[in-house]
Amino acid sequence: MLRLACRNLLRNRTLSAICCASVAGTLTLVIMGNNLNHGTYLTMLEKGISTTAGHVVIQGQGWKDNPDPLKHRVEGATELAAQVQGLHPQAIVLQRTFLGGLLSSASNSVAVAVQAVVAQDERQVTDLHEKIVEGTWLQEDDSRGIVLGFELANKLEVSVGKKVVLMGQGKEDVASRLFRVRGLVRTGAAQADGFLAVVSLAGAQDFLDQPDAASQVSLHLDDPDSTDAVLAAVKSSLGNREGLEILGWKEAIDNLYEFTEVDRATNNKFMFIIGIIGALVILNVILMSVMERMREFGVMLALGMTPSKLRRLILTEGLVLGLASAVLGLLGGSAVTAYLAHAGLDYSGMMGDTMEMSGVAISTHLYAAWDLNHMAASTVAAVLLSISATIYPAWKAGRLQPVEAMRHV
Amino acid sequence: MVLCLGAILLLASPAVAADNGKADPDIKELLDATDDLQRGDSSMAKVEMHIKTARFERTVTMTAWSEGTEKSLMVINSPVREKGISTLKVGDNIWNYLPKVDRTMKVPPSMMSGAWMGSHFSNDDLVKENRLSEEFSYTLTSRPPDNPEQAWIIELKPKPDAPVVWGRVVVRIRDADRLPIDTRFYDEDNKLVRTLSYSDIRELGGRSVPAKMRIVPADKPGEFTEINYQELKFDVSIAPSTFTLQALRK
Repeated sequence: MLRLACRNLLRNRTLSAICCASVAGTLTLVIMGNNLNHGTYLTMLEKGISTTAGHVVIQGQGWKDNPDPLKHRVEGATELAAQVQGLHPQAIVLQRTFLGGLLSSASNSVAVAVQAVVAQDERQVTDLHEKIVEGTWLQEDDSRGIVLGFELANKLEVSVGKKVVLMGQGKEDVASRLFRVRGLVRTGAAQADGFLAVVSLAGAQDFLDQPDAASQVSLHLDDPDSTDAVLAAVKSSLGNREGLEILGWKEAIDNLYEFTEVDRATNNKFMFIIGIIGALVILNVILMSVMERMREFGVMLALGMTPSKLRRLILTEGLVLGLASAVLGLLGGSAVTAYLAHAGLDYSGMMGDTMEMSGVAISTHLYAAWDLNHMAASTVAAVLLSISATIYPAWKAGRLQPVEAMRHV
Repeated sequence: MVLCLGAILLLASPAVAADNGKADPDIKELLDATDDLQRGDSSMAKVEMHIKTARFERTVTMTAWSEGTEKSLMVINSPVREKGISTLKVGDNIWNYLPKVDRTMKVPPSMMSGAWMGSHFSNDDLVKENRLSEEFSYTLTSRPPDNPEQAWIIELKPKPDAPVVWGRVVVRIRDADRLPIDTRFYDEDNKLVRTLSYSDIRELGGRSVPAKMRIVPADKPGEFTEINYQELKFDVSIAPSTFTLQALRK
């Protein structure tokens, strides 16, 4: 049966080749597209994790729903950071405070998002210090230093060395504090360049009058897959401390995570439609070859072949064609992915060096990443779609009347 | 202080700082004089504020009550559209009451340097004054015979870590009657940012005071906000409940 099916397929090489090529091409495209997206999602999530959260974050109870440093914070942040560092020595542990405020210069004022960081530790996790276009990154213990997005500095009409005053809600009254501009960053993300101000944690603690408190203590891991294990360890170690929420990155940056998941689901729907189109090509080819072979089938039926065997023959043809195309497609997709994972796709000519997706700035040089589950699933789907595309032709062939079929020209 | 617009009280604040000693007695005397001139235990004023910007020009009249430097209440009388809008200041906090929607809003820190009622004064100008004494050091840079205006010129420099955006502030006080002429605000590059000037000296509430104050931003030619006192009374009796959120709604 299999031999017969193969022989049939090889008899009309052109038709089979076109069919095979279109299915393999579609599959290659699907795999390539998905792996490229997958790579972009990973970059985005990594960026989101490194800049605003961590693989495991410990923050004041209620911070996630209401990020207000006056209401929710981690007290005794230094000690807590040391404690979690002890739990997991290879992780990088950061303390950060996020607050909003109004930054004023003599000529203007802008509402800003302030990130208070431990400058030396921050360097190990984010690349903000590499994005300095003027001046320097914050030095250790520089509680008066501030690094501004360069658009923000333009709006305030200040340059490196000039003073700015941060105002915000303090413990009881309005708090204000003088900072000196140390450096300007250009990240490519409008949000960061226009509204980001980075100060040292000590500066923010003074400003808020919250000595040794931080919004968040976060662990950054080399191996993101170990998140769950580390999360469990941190939870059991800190379980007795009140007023903390301990989250894995999926919860901590749930907006971004959900965005990637929704986008992924949307893409999968598109790819499914592409798959259906591919299947229609197979349907067309098999249907044509069945019509072409009407006489032949008539003879076979007349010689005693049962309709069910004939149906199986045609389904087998579809299966063989599908399998061959899927293997080719998988190979093609893998080859393209391998190339794109290494060389990447450079859109910088079109969109500049960075682009902003869902509030996260990522490089426009996109790299693919291997999404093995999805590759396996789409390969299987290609085979299944090929087979299902042959159901109708097979059913049609099975209903042939030998006499009429033989008369068919 | 009448309107409690911080910029004017800038004059008053160094006087407080002078109590720390060391300062040139001339400055203390001078600033005390201007200070006492403006300060009563309490005051009531009717004020007209004229705002001119590139986009609009309008006039607002209001009544203001104050007690010390910490508490003040301003209620808009006209234009009709804005009648009843009130601003309450207690200490560092400002609340606005909007009668149309019957809502009291605390002005959040992020809006503190937003324009107050569309003028060239910011909300921050309203609250800042009582902190300035801690934030500036000052020197007398010119005495009356040395300059044509016959004025005392005092330069205020923010202390190194004081949360002040200005690079320096220069106050001129007329020798004859010890009334302020103007106050200039410079940035760190010594560029003039805005000028507050005083004129139209009149008898109001039994004292001779400048009835007109005008603030001019240096980078916006043609724009200004001018405040005219139409009526001013000192040491009036005001019910303590005036400066509460409940009263703000009435």
